[in-house]
Amino acid sequence: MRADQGDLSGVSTPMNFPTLLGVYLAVNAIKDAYILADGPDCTLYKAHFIHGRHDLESTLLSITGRHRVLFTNVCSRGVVKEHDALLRRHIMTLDGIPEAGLVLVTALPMCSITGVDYGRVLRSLKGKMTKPGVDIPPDSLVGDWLDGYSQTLASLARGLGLRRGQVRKGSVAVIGHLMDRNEPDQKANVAELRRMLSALKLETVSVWLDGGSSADLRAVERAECVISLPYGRLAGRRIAELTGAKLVETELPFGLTKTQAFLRDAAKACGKKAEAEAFIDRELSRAVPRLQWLAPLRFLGRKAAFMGDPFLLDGFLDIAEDLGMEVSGAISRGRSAHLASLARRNGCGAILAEPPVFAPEVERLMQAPKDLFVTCWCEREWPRLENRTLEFGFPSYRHHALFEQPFLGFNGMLAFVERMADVLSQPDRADLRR
Amino acid sequence: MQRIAIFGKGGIGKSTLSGNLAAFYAKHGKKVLLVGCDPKHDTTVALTEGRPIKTVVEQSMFMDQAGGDMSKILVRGRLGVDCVEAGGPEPGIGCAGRGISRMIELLEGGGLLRKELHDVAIFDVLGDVVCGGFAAPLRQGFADRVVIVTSEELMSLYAVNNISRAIRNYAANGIALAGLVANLRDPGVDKDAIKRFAAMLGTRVLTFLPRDPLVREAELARSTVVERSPRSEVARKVASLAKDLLAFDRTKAAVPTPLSDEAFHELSRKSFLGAFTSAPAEPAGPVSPRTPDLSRDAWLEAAPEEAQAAPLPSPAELEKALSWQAQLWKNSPGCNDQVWGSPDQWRRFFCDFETRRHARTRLEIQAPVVHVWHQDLECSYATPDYYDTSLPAFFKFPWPKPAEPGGDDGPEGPRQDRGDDSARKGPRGKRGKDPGPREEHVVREAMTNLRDLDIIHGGGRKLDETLRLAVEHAKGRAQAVVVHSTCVPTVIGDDAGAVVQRWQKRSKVPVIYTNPAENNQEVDLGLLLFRKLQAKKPSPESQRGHGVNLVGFPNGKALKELIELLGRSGVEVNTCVLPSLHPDAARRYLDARVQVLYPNGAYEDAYKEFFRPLAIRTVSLDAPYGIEATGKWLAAVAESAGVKSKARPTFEAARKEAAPFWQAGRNEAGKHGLAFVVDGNHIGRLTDSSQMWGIPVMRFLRELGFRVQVLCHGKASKEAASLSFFQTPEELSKLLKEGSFEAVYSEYAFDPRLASAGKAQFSLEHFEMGLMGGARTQASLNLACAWSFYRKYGRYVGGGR
Repeated sequence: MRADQGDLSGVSTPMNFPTLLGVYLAVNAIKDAYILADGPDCTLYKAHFIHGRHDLESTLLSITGRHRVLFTNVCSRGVVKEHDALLRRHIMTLDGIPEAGLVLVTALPMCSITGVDYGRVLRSLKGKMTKPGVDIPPDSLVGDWLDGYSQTLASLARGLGLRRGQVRKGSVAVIGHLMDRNEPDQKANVAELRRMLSALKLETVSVWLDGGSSADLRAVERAECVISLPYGRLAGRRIAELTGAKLVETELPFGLTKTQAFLRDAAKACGKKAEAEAFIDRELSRAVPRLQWLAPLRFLGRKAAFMGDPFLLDGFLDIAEDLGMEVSGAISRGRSAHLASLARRNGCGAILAEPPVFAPEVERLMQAPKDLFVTCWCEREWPRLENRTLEFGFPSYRHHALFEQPFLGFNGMLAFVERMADVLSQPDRADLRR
Repeated sequence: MQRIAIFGKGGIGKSTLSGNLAAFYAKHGKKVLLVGCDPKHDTTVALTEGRPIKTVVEQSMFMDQAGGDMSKILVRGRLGVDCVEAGGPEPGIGCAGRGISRMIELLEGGGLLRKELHDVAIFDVLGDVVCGGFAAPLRQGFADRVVIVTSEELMSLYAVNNISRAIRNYAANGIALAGLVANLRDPGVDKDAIKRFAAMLGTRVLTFLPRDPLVREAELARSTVVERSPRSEVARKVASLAKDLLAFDRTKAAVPTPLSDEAFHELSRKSFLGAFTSAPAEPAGPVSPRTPDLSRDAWLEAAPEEAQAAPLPSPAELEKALSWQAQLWKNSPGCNDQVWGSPDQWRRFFCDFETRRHARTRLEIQAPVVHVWHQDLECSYATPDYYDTSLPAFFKFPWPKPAEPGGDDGPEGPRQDRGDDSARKGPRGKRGKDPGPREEHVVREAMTNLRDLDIIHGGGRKLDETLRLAVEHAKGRAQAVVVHSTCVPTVIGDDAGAVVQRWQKRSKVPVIYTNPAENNQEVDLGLLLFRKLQAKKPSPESQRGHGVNLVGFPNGKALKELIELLGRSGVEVNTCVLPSLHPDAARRYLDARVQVLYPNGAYEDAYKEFFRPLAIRTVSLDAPYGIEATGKWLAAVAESAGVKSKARPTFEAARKEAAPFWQAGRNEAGKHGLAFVVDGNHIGRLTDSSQMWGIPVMRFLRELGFRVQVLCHGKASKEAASLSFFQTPEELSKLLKEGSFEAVYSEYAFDPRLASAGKAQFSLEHFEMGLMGGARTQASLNLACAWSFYRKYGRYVGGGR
């Protein structure tokens, strides 16, 4: 349909998630963090996208009514008036909750565009608050969910009062783990990161974020080296600057290739090259034989497509290459800027960054023949693809983890391949091999 | 680095002073950053040979969340002064304040305010402080001292008072008022009056600048007076001011004490002599919040109080809006206390507020309508789709169960033409199934996706373009275009209504405007359209046959069975409406002889406004839950449709068919008990079906054969075996644990209060109408009671929040 015939596909909803969802993911992953969101009650209902939908172990909402998200209920009429007193009252309400260890403040765009200085409001309560208070820049009009998560980590780095001179030799912190839910898959990812770094004789003193408490975050002061992952670049830099730690910016260890790169980067910064090489060799000796039958049997020559987190896409392309799959195309549910670091695009068809949901390019990609569709939950469904679909990444509304099965690191690679192989092994898939 | 902000009323000479100060400092070897925070972006022209520089708003990095190469936004001006201009929108549209806010964020993010880069930073800020955006330079880490430029004129002094308020509000950021600069219009004016005014504010006049043609000459030459006429009086005064500002010790400065408006006007008439008769100054410093009492109840009670301050529509407006939400607001001070930290939350098992809030979104006409959402992405993710019952939600909504495989769900009755129902929506609403590759994609939803630049320049153009596409698309395909404006465009003052009006004139398809951010009219939009599409005149009585319209009945298998029963009784169901609203149903609505209303209090306003006034007989009956009620309902509907004789035998035959299922269910139900936890003041809801989505729960459950226990909050008022009272959480917990019932009613999904007590839960979704629906209700409740999971493992799962 031509534009002069009223083609609305180009102005349909972009396939991305808003900033506040990223902020809430971070809040969800700090078990004693409470957040005040300036805006109407939809700021609370946003939490429902996570609690019980994506994360069955979320504590963002509570049957006690003391949800970890509070809102000011300021509406479009009320926002034109100054409402500092209201903000202060609600901040103090959160501060007064015995279980709260940290109070965060942010806003919907309808409030932030009036220029409210949330940092100032928090500072005006200095001496009255008993918990750390941190404002998160309300960047919904320029960022997306990945920026929201990243900004929250960076704000924590700024607001927790981290000190210099506490570092302990041989210790590291991982900054920018996307703890998008508290289910065992993400807990297993944290454990896998720790296991791998421990094999390098490095003590992981803190993982941002890992589902722990706000007090656990402070342990980052002791890290001699900050290992920064793509979800927390800003925070990584800020922490290194504040604590004087070494900073290494590395890739997300998703897939064998990226996991090796992660380990080598960390090892190089910490002087553990020999340990890293030995460990990589041991792990590949363990993992690769397990793949050697399945790779040609289930994966070689198969066509796959991907939709979701752009940082996972990077690793997924490597995994597909290792297994002999062709990636016919991908949709990044994040801004194109997040794809800037994409190490390679070879072997992948079109990569669309946050396209409008009814864009013809999306339709073409979805209609292209494929054996496997690795995708997060999507507001659209393509019934033809239903039994070829592996739900993966944020948000996952139908797939929930009940036991500790990671997707990062060497163990994560094996578990992820197992899930993909199960989809490709379904009876009606048996004759689809090309 | 010294950071100076120059404020003052428009046209008072701020930019001239800023440029001159910058030039003076630069001439004396300082590294200077001059930041124009004025949309007309002329602060720096005196230092760039009159060439306007590219503003920050015009830079591509403006939209990049991470910023970009910040050196691009700096222009090196004469004397080595680094110049930046925020820029802004066309006059009259958009939000200039947001542009300034964003520039400030970029400056900070890009590290341009690092002390090693410049010795002095000067922020020239537009006029009076009109909103938080214009106060952005007062945020922590930007300006630390403020100079207010004024003349002797009243409105200029009024602006000074206002700006002082902003400085007082930002004092916690370490901002201090250095003083006033009087740029006099009339050399003969009483300077002492200005001095007295300054003293009242707790500050002083730093200097009086004389009117001097040299200043104008310098401006015309695109230069500064300190460069062109350094020995002039005005240049000497600027020099002195510049030195004073650098020497200013902000740690010793007092927080300003601005006057109230009333005091200002009274004292200005007295040339600031004497004192204000009632209130000389506003209280200084931020309002201290009440220190919360950390005892449980105290903080819980503290939370909702402020909601009362939120502006609500007047009672008259509420009446007019006739929305359910408005009805709720009538009864509550706001929604905070309903949904966050309510002091009675521990004993709350009903979610009336949420149910009604979300029920409103169901009333959407299922017509090919093009929706245009004038909003940002956050707004698209305001609320999850609670109607997709295959996904868990925090609440148990009383929506009917999802359609069963094989199309057992008959939502619109036998004659309901579902038409092209392939409308697919974004995350905000219901999602239709993808029609698959064979059908053309008919997209009927568009969004303006407002971003930062749209806020600054105004979203009107984007809306206009989107509407153009929507109107074009609607031709021959849709029955209306509905524009939904939202909070952000409302706050920035987009005149979306005017844009819509233009298209209303041009478009052959009706273009409807709603703005839920301003009113509640959207609630009734589906119904308004439904009314619009109805035939103007009802069919003659003689031509109406025995048709009935069923209004407000829950969709699903049970409705389909009832329709079949009615058919066997000789009653033709003309259409079913509410919550589904289909245009074909509207068109033939008045073909029926009678409309039968389902007794749901949540629909009562809709009935009153849109259904009862219609020229069609209205029948209000108890809903057909249980054998007896179904029989009565069937007979009454048949009678109203004029076919009474067949109803009884039809019912008896159906009853016989259902009897074995009922008997088996009753045998099982006799072994089980169910319980409700209610507030003493609301116990009537258990017998008043209109408060329970039309379901007479107590009567129905007894008929199904279950024992029912009621746990009531309050003091024991009467003895009854099935009634227990509690007053504390501990008492309730004990009753739940020890009660001889297996399942308890709760509208919270996975209610840990019940799980920890070893009890299963049930909610309205278990209840079905009709004879077989009753049997299914028995079966599902029996299943809930028999399920041993919580009895065995409850203590392991109920410990969550």
